[in-house]
Amino acid sequence: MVMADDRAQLYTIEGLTAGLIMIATAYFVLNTGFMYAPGDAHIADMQLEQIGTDALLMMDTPVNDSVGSELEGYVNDGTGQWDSFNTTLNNYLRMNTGATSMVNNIRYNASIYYRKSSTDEVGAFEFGHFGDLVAHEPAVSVSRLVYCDNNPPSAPYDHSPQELIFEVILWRG
Amino acid sequence: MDITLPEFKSEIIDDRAVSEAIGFIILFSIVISGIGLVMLYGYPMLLEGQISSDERNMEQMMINVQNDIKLLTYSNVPYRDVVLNVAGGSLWVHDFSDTSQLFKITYNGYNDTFQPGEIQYISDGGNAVITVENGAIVTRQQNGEGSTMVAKPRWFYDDDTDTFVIFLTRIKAADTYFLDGVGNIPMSMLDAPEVTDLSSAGGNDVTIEYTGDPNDDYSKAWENYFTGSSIVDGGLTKTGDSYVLSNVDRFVIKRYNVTIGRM
Amino acid sequence: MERLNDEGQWIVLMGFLVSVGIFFLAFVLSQSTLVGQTTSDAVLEFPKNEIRDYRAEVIDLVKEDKITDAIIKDLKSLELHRNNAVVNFTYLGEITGSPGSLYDYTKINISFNNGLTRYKELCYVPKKK
Repeated sequence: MVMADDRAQLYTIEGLTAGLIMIATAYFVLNTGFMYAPGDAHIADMQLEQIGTDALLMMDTPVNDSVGSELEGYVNDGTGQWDSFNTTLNNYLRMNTGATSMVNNIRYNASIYYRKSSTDEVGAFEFGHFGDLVAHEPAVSVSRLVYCDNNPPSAPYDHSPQELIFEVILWRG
Repeated sequence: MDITLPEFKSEIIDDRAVSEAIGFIILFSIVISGIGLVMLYGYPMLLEGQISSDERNMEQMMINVQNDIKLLTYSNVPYRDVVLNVAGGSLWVHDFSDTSQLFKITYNGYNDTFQPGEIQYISDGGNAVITVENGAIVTRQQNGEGSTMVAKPRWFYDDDTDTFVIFLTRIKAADTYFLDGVGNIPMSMLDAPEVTDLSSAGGNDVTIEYTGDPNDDYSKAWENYFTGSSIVDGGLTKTGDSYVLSNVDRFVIKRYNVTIGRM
Repeated sequence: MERLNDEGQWIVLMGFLVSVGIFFLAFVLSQSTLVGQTTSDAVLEFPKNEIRDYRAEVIDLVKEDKITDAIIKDLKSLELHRNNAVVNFTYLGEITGSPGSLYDYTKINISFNNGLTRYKELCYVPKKK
């Protein structure tokens, strides 16, 4: 008769412990979430917003106390200055060393918001845009308050001097 | 000095009467009952873990959706898409006209009712219902009373100027949409927000009333939000079914329309 | 019972340690809360740039004596419509600098509140004598 022997008892206990540890591990892993939308979903938006804010801040900083800022100059002229604004902003946004040619895929749309003094409502008109929002690109918006004491014919303002909001919507095209 | 260790007794156990068949049966039944115990307790535990993890994930996913709605509305951006994985249940988008919950707002002769619409997750395995409603995330159990607010909307009272600002976010959809698994919620806000700016010198009462859908009731969540101190210290006063904030000089209502495309 | 074979104890011990390590990592992983609200969301939500812009603009206007009722109305209305913020501006009077000093000061109060963040500043805007 072959004996049911009692060797390898330690191995049995080890096997059992290992099994328990594996089950517990599986439990904890399953309890952990699997998130499809990554936690860094908005990091790119945050960066884009910062780039945009910095560009507008640079544009809104005058070279010295006695003159207005570049941005004030553009806005004070209605939509007439779109081209020079476009060139400056594009230049700021694509700042590079020149050593490599870089792809600049930032597109934007700039609008001006003003208060209608008769109704206290806020009106808007488009200052200009670079690229089109064609495919639901996720965008961010940045804005600056601008002082304007001119009443250019291309703008529908009804009082002067006044304060405007210059808002730029940025996206990667 | 020398110590002689005693020999193990097991070596001298007489095992001639041991039957191998019985030994095998005993060992086999121990193994089977071990597997049985694991199936009985371990498997439901794993399943439970899976369900609760799905629900917690969806709660966070809804916060993600709410964050994108915030970007869309508060930062005046036209389009935002949210890619998400709906697990353990399904996600529904109901146009505001298909839902019956509503907010009634009264101030100094101004009267308005507002239907928010909803984006709703219903768990299959568990009981959780998580809803994005009027800029807030509220949740309830399918079989239970009561509800809680997971994330609050951004209503506020500025006591320097006695201004009360509320945001009404409406979900619009051409149809009732449904999503299961990995998908994309295309959201857009193409019309400018409507601003109603009311003022009354000397102050007046703002009255807000929430009417819930009897089958999908979040009135407890909204009650806790209104009477809690996130809008104003001390909260709004509950009078009957409505909530009152007194001495408001200026009352601003901002209305956003968020359109959800086909998912 | 056979005498325990005590060879390879290190290998057994290491195997055991590794399994405990994996278990521990799984536990930590399950405890880490999933966040829908990430750091970048908080950064996007925090109105740092709006506050700085509003503050700079108001101080500039005060410096250059350009504040009028219409301008204050513009600021309040635009901030509410575009940045969802209730802003306030209070003029608290002129303060003459002591004799021999280079500046006079305008004392103003600036406040910004968008429900999430509240900013208040008592500000002395210097003006060259």
